[in-house]
Amino acid sequence: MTLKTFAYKNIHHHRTSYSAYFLSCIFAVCVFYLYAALLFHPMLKKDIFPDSFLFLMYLVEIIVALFAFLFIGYSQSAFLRNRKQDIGLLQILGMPIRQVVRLIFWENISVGALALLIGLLTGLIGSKFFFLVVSFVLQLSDPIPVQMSFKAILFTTGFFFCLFLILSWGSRLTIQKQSISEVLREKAQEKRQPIFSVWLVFISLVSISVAYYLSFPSSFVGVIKHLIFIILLLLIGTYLGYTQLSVAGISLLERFPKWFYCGINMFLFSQLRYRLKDNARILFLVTIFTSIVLTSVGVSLTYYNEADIVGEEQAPYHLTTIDNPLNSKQIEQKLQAYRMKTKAHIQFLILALKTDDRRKNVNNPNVSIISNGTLNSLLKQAKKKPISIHAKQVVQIWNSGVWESGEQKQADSFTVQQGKQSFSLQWIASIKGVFFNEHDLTRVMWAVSDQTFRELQQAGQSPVHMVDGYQFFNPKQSMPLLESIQRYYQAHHLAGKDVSGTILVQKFFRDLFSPLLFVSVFIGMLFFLAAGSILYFRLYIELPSERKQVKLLHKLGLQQKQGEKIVVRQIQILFMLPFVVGTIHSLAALNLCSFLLHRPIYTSYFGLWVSYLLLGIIYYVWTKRQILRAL
Amino acid sequence: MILEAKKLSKIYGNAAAYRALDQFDLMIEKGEFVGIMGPSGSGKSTLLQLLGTIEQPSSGSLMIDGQDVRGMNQNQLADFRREKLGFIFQDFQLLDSLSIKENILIPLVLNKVSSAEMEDRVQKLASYLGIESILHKRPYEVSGGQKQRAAAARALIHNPSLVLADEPTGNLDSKSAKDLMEILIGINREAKTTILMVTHDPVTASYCNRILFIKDGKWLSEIYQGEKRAAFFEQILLMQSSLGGEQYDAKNIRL
Ligand SMILES: Nc1ncnc2c1ncn2[C@@H]1O[C@H](COP(=O)(O)OP(=O)(O)OP(=O)(O)O)[C@@H](O)[C@H]1O
Ligand SMILES: [Mg+2]
Repeated sequence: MTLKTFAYKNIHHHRTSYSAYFLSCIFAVCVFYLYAALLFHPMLKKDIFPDSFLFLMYLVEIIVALFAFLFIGYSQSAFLRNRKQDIGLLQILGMPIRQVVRLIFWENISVGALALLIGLLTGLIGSKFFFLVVSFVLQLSDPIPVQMSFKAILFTTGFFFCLFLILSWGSRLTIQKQSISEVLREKAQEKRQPIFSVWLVFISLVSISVAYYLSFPSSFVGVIKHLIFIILLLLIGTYLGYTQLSVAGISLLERFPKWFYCGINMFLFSQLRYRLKDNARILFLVTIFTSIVLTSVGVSLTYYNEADIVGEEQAPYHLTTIDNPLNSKQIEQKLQAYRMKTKAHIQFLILALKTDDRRKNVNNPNVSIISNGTLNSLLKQAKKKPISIHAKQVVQIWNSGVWESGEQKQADSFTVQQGKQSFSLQWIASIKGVFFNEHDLTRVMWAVSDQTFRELQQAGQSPVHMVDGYQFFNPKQSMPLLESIQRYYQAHHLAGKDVSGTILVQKFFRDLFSPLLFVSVFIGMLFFLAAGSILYFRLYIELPSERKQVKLLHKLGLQQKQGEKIVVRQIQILFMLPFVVGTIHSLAALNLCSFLLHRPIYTSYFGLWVSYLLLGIIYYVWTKRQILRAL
Repeated sequence: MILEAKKLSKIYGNAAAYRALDQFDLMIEKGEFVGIMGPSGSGKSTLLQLLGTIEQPSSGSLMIDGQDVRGMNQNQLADFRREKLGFIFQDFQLLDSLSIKENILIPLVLNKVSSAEMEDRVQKLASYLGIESILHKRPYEVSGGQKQRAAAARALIHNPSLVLADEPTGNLDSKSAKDLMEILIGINREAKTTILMVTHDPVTASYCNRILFIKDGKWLSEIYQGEKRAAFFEQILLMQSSLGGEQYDAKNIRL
């Protein structure tokens, strides 16, 4: 017998506790390989992938790498804690620490090598499917050819090998910290009964409610301002909630003896309380994982599915152009050629002025001026009431969905320069909402009375832009037309973004969210498996003491079934609590991220939620069976 | 002189310092079988841990087999334990992942002994201890007495200079306890292995050549085995009752 055979025997003995960890390792390797294969693909040199997509791919690779580090590191330290008796004994019998570390390295590397092998194999098989999906997501005309990438295999192997090396070396610290004298002491010292502080409970409740409260303003700007603060509050609140609120909850239950002493409740809750500090950390981690998965997949799925509606809301006109080089006759011909049936056409002028008035905007001196008549026709198209503006007055129009729609009275004034003249205008109100497709010129507009508009126009030589907006009866067919006009713009060295249309915005959203959806589904699965594996491992560590309790209770006359029920309840609580809390968190986050929709949309989310629930139930049933079998 | 401890003290905790062992002197000759007795919490296990180099003494000096243990670092201590010391614990401490035979072999594996010699030694020792038939079983498949004999085999297989046993019969029935003690006394006589044993059980203690009594971490007295074991047993009982403070259950009082 040598150290190596000893390592294999240990693995064989602990194989049930390794199983969930093993599964997650395989999946991590597989995902890591898939993305590496894409990043090392020769196709990349041909510039077919958008930069943003590549950036996302690198990001995923980094996230998977970080995740592997944290997850494998965490699992290893948990394994070590679980085996501190074995390891302590070996040290007493004279095994020096460097040899213990070598033993652990051998164990790690052999489990890791197997996981690596299987992960790479599944990766190789899965890459065909993976590339097909990528091609679909990017809407490539011909799918990316599958190639066995040696570079990717080498990269993946190298990465995971280094990872195991570093983590084994790091295990030295854990081992050194563990006191070997505990092996000689007959019994592990009783854990102290956890207590809670009313203050921390209070802080937990307050930070969660503040976070939820802050996540309710339905405007983009408001959310961005508080985003980090909200996340921080949620993290703190959730952590304290698990460590403090749970103890408080159980203490409260003790006040109801009728209930507390009924059936298995007493055993269940005293078990739970003693492990709460350890469990709390696990529950916290799993809750965060669940929230991240549900939120990221939920948001991208929602936006992907709602892209049409969002596009329509953000770009009410099916075709808009600024300074169209085609004259009206040519346009007419083009529309006919592409069989577009015009429902409405609006044409107006924008005066591009500048201001140095600091009351307007420090960073952006540009001012787009439209006339009262234009504003009213835009309002009419948007089915809103017209506004009348008097001379020398100005109404500001925030024309974008990122702001909360509404009206606001203003009482301020500012000046604009036109040629050598300076006009002072009375700023009376601001209107927010989407009235026209968003271009640089139309994002923020200032409406003045028709009279003032004419005066401004005549006063100087600043540019006047001609803006056209069309609505069609058959907008779904407008893509070829839009593309042709964009090509025409580019051919005349004009900015392509001066052409916009509902269908382009819809495409923009779909293109933006399909890679996000694609990526978040992968990371979501990884996190899901990790969360399950952490729970499984947690339960497995407690197995010996659980076994003892069930046996003891059996001797005292409790039926085996009843004893098992205590264990099953614990499993249920460990699985259910993070799911429920994670769901609530993600609902709040979804609400927060649905600012562009102006209403939270839960249909896509609900589908996701149900699938997550089903997967969770499968994991739960599997875990329960494994644990009960080992009991 | 195999073991020489002078003014050994162990203080636990910093703020509310607790003296678990107080200026303890102990000399053991080669081939002796020494017992340590005392009330619960008197510092017996602490003493054994210090002698086993598992805990560091707060003060005092400790020489084992001519080597000064106090100057060694963690790695040197591990080497020292591996070669010179054998341990037997109350709760056996066998690894479930290994068979009984492999458990017994651990010290030889750690000492990098050739596999032929491993086989040879394990067979000899197993037949002496009467555990050949269970060598290929797992620890959870055998009885407590068999487990403790396997653990004794593990403590003896590398011919250590000193065997330290903390209540080796604490979890055994009287028959198994008797068997184990006969084996230990046999090894002690034949191979001149030095054994130091902590015990609560007067019957177990009556096998020793010499018994030290310890109370509140201090040396209290010492009694030697005379001609008759029965007389020694009486002496032990007398000593125990005079120490007082300790309650015996029926299991502990039997011959
Ligand atoms: N790691 C430790 N930290 C603090 N105090 C300790 C520690 N180990 C032991 N003690 C204390 O030192 C004293 C002696 O403990 P020890 O285990 O040596 O007693 P013992 O004689 O073996 O008792 P028993 O017969 O019950 O096994 C006890 O009061 C114990 O509480
Ligand atoms: Mg003790």
